[in-house]
Amino acid sequence: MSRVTIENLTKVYDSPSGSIEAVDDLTLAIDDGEFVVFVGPSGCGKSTTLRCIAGLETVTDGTIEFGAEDVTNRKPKERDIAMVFQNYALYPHMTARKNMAFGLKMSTDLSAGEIEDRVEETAQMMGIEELLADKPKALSGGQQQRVALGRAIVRDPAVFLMDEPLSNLDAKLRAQMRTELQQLQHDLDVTTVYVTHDQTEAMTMGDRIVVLNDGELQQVGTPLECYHRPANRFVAGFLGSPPMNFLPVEADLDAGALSHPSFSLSLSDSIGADLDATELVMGIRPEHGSLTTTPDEHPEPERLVEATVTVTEPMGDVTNVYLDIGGESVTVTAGGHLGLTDGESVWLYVPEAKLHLFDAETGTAIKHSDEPIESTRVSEASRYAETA
Amino acid sequence: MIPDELHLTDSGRETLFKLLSKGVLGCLLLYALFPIYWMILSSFRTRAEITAAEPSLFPFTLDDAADIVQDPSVLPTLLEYENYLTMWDRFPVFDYFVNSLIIASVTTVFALAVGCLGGYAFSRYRFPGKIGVGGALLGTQMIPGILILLPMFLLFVWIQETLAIPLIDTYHGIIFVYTTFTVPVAIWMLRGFFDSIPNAIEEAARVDGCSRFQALVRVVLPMAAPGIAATGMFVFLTAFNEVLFASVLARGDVTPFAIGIQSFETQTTAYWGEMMAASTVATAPILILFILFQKPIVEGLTEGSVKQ
Repeated sequence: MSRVTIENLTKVYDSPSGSIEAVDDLTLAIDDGEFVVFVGPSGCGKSTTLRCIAGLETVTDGTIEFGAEDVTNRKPKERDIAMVFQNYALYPHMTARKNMAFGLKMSTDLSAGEIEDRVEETAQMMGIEELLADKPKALSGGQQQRVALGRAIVRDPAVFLMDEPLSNLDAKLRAQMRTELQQLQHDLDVTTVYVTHDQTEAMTMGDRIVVLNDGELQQVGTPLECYHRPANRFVAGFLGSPPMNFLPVEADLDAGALSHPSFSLSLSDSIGADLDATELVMGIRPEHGSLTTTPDEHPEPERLVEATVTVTEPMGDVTNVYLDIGGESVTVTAGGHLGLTDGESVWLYVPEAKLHLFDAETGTAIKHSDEPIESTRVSEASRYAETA
Repeated sequence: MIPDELHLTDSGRETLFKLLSKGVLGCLLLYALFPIYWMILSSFRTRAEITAAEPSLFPFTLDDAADIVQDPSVLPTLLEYENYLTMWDRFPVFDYFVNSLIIASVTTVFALAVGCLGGYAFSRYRFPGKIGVGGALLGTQMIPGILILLPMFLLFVWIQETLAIPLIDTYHGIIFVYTTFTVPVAIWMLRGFFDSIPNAIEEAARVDGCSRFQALVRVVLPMAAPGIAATGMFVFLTAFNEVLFASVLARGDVTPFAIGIQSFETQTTAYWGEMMAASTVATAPILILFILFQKPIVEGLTEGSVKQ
């Protein structure tokens, strides 16, 4: 177990067509025993950062420390890490047992008997005792995955590094392994860095998530912090499915309103006072909007925005309604079956408290929704209270 | 209109296709195997039978064949295996064969050792001049051997005279030549096999406590075993079958089989029967070796190691 400190990490790849900055001045501290998820789109630098922590990439600039030890220039084998790869990377010519024992054999001076005991113990924990004599090609994808995890766990390393370990599994198995991995990490209490492009994994698994884009750190925080208090427009748009809706608006401070060519929303004074830019982007989470077909009966008719339904996607529990507001597409996730037809006129209600505002130029967040971020339960409850 | 009965059903078409493809394969096989059959057949014949104006295509007459079917123990009496006994006395067949074996085996070991390291470097590392060096290695294969033969001979003479290192008619001389010729091909072949081994497996080994070299030896090479076997076979065969350079640079005590066999044809007589018998004896162990090596090559390279 170990605390991981990354300071000013920069990784530049030189290629004939010029240099590519894969990681740009990343600074981050990961606590001992913490489960941190790196998330971001392809090419955001998350895997490169992980590989730098593993020692599989040389660092262009900056330092990486495990505990108080600077490991920046150490070889992978000198770092006391274990890694799980996306494609499992099992040794095909060895049985599952030998795959698991290999790391202990190479990196410790344990006797053959001790290694055997540890492999057995880990295999039992992972429920793969029956597979130990098989070679990887005799195993299913899920079984290979378990052996790959077992191979990492048996090492009892200071840090676990996982590079999209679930992305090759089918959806059902992935969901199951997600829970199982969390449980395992919790039990083992080993510092874990987990890379994924899957925001569900990011939201559900990590103690904290690290959102990266274009090699730059966007935000570090608990999943709910990043979801409800996004630092900028990128984080806001990246987390959440369907994603947050963005509408360009102008702040008319004299009138105390946000104006868009096709609507105008009044602003409370407290919010208006904080605005120093006039060109803004308004963000609305799909689940925070509600729809009505009878605007006259709404308690706040002045906060309604008229829209046209373009497509509805009934998902069973919720329905995704795609709206057209002055030529822009807005998605609203509404509860149950609404009976809306395409082309119908509806009114969208967005409570001011749930609005996000971003600086149109820099993308920096100016105002967040007031969703609580301490506990999922409270947030869910308030969400349903809102839609009811 | 084509009458219905002339239309082929899908399964009928499939059967026809199978028959046709088997027929073509059979012809090709016959073409490839006939010389070997003829070699074995001739090795059991007397001079008169071999040089007959119309040699029989079959080892036995119909009557003989009938006798053998009735009583297989008569087979030895019908076979003319005199050649297999006399060839040893007349020519140093065994020495030729051992020479070939030594030259081809040592060449294979050297070519594989250099080829594995070189192929690995080409597969995994970026270095200045990689494309140029790779191209030059391939380029060496475009030059006909006969063009290099004389310069090579002169070079050997020069080294022998100035450095006093004997090279002509020595094992190490001809092994050096063969290694030089086969290393480029070995590098290119092995590079292809290494390319097909995912980097992640090697990285897993490095995280598991291996140095790069240990990862190569413990993980990459075992995974490349089929490729190494295939490359080894190629190198071995090349060295075993080579005639041109051996005819100039490997005579005397180190004469390999491919050259030695020519001595069966003297100015006065040609000992065809013995020559064929010697060839059969020399081919058999190689054939057996290669049949044994076929399995690892046919087996999938990285099957099951990585989910694609």
